Amino acid sequence: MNPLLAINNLSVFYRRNKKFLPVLKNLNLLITSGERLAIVGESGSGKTSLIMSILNILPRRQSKISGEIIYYPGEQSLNLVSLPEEQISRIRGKEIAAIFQDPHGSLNPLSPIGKMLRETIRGQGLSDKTILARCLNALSEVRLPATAEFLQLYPGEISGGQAQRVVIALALLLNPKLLLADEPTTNLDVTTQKEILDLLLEKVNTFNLTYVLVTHNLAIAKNYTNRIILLYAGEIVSDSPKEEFFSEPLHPYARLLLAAIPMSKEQPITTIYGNIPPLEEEIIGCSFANRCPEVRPKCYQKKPGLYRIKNSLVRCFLYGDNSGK
Amino acid sequence: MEIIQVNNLTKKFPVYGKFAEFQGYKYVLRNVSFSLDSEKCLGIIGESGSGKTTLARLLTGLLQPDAGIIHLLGKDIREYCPKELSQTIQLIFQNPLSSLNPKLSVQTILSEAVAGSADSAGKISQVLKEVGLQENILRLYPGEISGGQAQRVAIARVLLKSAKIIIADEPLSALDVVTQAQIILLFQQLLQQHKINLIFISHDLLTTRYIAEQILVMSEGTVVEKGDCQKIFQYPQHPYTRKLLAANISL
Repeated sequence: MNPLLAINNLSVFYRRNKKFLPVLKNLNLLITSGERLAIVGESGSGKTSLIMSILNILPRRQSKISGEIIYYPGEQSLNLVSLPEEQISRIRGKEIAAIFQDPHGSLNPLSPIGKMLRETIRGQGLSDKTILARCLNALSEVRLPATAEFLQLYPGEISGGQAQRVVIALALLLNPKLLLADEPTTNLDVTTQKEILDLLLEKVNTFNLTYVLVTHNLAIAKNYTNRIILLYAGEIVSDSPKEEFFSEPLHPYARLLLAAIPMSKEQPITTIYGNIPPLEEEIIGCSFANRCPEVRPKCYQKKPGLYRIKNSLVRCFLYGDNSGK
Repeated sequence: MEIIQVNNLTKKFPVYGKFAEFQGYKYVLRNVSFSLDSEKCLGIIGESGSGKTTLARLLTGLLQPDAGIIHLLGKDIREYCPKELSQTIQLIFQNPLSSLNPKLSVQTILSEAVAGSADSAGKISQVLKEVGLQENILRLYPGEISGGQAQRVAIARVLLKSAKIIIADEPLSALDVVTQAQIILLFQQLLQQHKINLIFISHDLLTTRYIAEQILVMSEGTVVEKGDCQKIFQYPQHPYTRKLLAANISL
């Protein structure tokens, strides 16, 4: 498969009290064309910062970025990190589309839905009639009423589920290659959640999109993606095909996350106590060591590498450097 | 004795048009009846707009019903004075950070809950231990603590009131999977140790199944199914319950 996005040694720092603190640490990730992958992890693990880095929308004065994010739109390659704003704005939204958690927050409350859809495809030399037809088609694609009345509604007049469908319609209108969905259903209830995720998957399959789904819900990751990237404290701690991640989770953190999900009354849940280390904390060894039930002295002294087990990569001394024993 | 007895509860809200003209009433709850036995956890599930939160607000006296009767601990809710009611039933809101006053420190927030009682510092210290928080959180403000910690502070505030009945309205939806598990375990521990009666409102079906003994399925302001939680999850009778369970995404 062709690579679509190669993230090399990506580090992101946020400014806090005149210091730049690391949020993402030397991240390496290769996303191939047509892949469906999930980025999972707790709040504060760096999931959203990764998405913002890909879109190059990190707050400029409050953040620093190093490393590269190479995007391969065709034969050429573009480093999204160093691309001038003028060029990145032609890629963002058009080739790389994003859907965020709060649909109402993504839409302009003062703009009717029709106007937002029209503005997205304006400037392509299309006639008014064609633009209207494409807007109505975009609505019917996401199973919204394809009527002139619906185009006149404002975001405040539609439900959360409908608003997220409008966001999806906007995201797909310019035929992107890569779709980033950052917790797209967190605020929605169970039936709407399934409808939206099913709809996204259907569009991903129909248009052969590369799909990056950010979630903290492992059940969603399992049902809608093929590859699971587990982030912890700004590092990738495990990168596995879905089947391997759920049948034999390698990293102790992955095992604990799975044990925290309520399945049935007969199967008591456990949880991980403590918190993700604060950004200020300088971590010498494994970032999960202070919460890990299988911690060894070595884990505090040296950072584990990413070790390959079958088709998975895992960052834990249990699987490499002979030092877990 | 039944802890909560609700009969034919109805609540409607006026609907206004674009130009603030009155257009009629929308019924948010219609003839809702149910009861909760002592020291049991009742789960309420349903989609957005099914009336779950309105029901919670009626039970805590934040809203007045248009028809129907609520009995808490065998006494009509209308006979409770506000102070007595707040010591009987308490509500934990969905968004922990917005349910705490951002201008007050955790110390002040918790002190207000035990105002007037002897040894308030001792009680606060005891409750902090129970909810798994350290004493140094007391000097912090809600903006300085995480979502999970804020939800624990909200639970601590409710425990300080020593209310017999606690309603948790979507208490986990703003939290990630690890923090969710921590709060579920905390609720279980409180159910066992404090002998509280919990009403757990959620659209997370797996969590509700895990924590609740009885269940109420709501749709468009009415109760469509109620009974033993495990039975309903195994053999849902109403088409809406079946639809809801079918939409559940599980591992």
